[in-house]
Amino acid sequence: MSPVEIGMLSVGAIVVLVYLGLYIPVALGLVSFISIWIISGKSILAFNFLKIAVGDGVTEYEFATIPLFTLMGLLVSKAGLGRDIYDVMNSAFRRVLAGIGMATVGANAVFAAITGSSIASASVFTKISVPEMLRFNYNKRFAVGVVAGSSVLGMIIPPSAMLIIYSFVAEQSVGHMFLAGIIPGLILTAAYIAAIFLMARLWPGFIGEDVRADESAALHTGEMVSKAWPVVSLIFLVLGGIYTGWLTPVEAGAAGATLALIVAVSRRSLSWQGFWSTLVETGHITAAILLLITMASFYSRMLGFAGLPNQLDMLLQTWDLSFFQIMLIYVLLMLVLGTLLDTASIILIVVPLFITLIEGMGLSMIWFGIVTVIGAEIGLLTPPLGISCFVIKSTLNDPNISLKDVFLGALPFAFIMLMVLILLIKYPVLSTVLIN
Amino acid sequence: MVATTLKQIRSWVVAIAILANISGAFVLLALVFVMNVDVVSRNLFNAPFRGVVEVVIFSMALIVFLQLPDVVRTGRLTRSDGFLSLLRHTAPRAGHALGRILDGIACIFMGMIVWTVWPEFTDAFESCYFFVAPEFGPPKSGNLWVDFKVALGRCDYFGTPGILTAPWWPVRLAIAFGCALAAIILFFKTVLGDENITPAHPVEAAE
Repeated sequence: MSPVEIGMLSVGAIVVLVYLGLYIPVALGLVSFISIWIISGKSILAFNFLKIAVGDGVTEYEFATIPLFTLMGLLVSKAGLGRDIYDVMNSAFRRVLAGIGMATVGANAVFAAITGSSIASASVFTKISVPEMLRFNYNKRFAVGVVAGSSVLGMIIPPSAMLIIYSFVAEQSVGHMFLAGIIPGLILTAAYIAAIFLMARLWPGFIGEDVRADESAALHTGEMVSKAWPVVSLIFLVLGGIYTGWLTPVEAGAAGATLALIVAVSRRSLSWQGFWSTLVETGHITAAILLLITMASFYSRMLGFAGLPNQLDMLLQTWDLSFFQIMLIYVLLMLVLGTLLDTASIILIVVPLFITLIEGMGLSMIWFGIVTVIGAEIGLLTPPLGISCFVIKSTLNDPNISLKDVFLGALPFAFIMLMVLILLIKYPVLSTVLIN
Repeated sequence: MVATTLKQIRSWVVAIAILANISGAFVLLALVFVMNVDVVSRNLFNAPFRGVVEVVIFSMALIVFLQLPDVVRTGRLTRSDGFLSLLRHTAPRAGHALGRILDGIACIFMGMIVWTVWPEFTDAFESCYFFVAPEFGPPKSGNLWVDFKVALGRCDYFGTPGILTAPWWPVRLAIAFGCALAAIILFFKTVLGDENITPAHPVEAAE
């Protein structure tokens, strides 16, 4: 067998093993190890690759963004900031038809700017918005669908775990990836809100036939300010700090985590025990993600050793495909993988294969990252492995709402994501304009 | 009989993993503190904390590998277990057998990592000449504390000389220790079965 064939087989083997349930870092590492051994015929080379991957894998300054932003996100959730953002948004949208749906999207977008996780968004807003919407006669499928759809914003609007992971795989700066995520995230938010506005008028069966408006009074200005200031100052500190270059992403994470801690303590929503479990949780997440990244770098070195990215590049060149056709193949590939694997695995497996090709075409790696993250995120909403939908179903714990309801409710939002993805592919400037 | 002995040993291993996890959490706390000291002192007093990059890298390695065993123990190592939990639900025997086989594979892989990184630790440690006479430089004075400090200066280091350097071997040791303990815990999961079967949300850990 030629090295390229072995490389291709190994990609297939990784997908199968991960699907069977083998730990993803183990699948990436073990298959890469065996492939290098077979290609070179020497075990010593495979062991050396492994040694370098593990020994030098974590010695990167920017890796510290992972524990720091995770800590910040967990503290923000514990401090109950999600509820406050929702209250403010709900007050703003309360007179509009289907306003609670729009408020949920808006609150998710703001919450996304202080956390990096779709899972956190999905579980927080399932508890807050779904009961609210059911109370005002919204269709249950719409209620869960809007939470699922907007939870995806957590991964696109910075800080975002997926943007961090991509930046390591593609060797881009974390700060640049964060800035690149802002406009696409806002576009997706606007698209969701516009879609809800239209659906409320054209497709009332989906939203709910006799949706009532919230008759409660608007929040006073004082209440608004007291609920909004922690969130606004966190966004200002973190994104403002990175954008102006005042803080590196690592420092922004540390400063954000500290401010979140101050907010949580000052509201008395954090016990010593709660703080301790947050620290332990952060450590667990950090160790899991970094082992994953370490093994992904091993895998990407194996691919390079097998010469697979170059071969793929040459193959696609002989087919003489246009830019549009290549992107079509890429998006389809991610949608298919999205039904088998989770977002992080898709990014880690697919990106190293395509880096050579994309760089060779002179395209922006930053733009490619945004396209990749959004493309892979669509899988969060589609069966059978739509993680966001699973989280909503298990958080809700309501026998009247089945997993099928959640998936069907999320489908229109997955479609809107796809439309926004096409827009972003067509106009790369939307992703790159904030950098420099 | 064998099973009870193994379970006894496992409880000790678990205790060590939890202890390592707690130490890792303290390192994380220290990291946040140091970063903030740097940001504040740089901006308010125009006095950056030199060597902060080295401190960050050093503490990241400690956080990851001190907490890895506990991540494995609690079943938080990233996996996509849609198929596995379905199988556990519909055909429990086959599901649990598959789970054990996968843990066994992971155990072997962790063992391979230990095998390959252990010499890295011994090399880094021996570079200090803690216990034997160094090849160059002043000979041992006989004063333990003085000798120890001189030896630390001899170690293979990382960082920038003149700003902050730290010996490599504690990081190498943490890597070998974390992976070895993870391998042992996976061994117990393979032999005794999994105590912590995770709920059906595979990437919760990663996201």
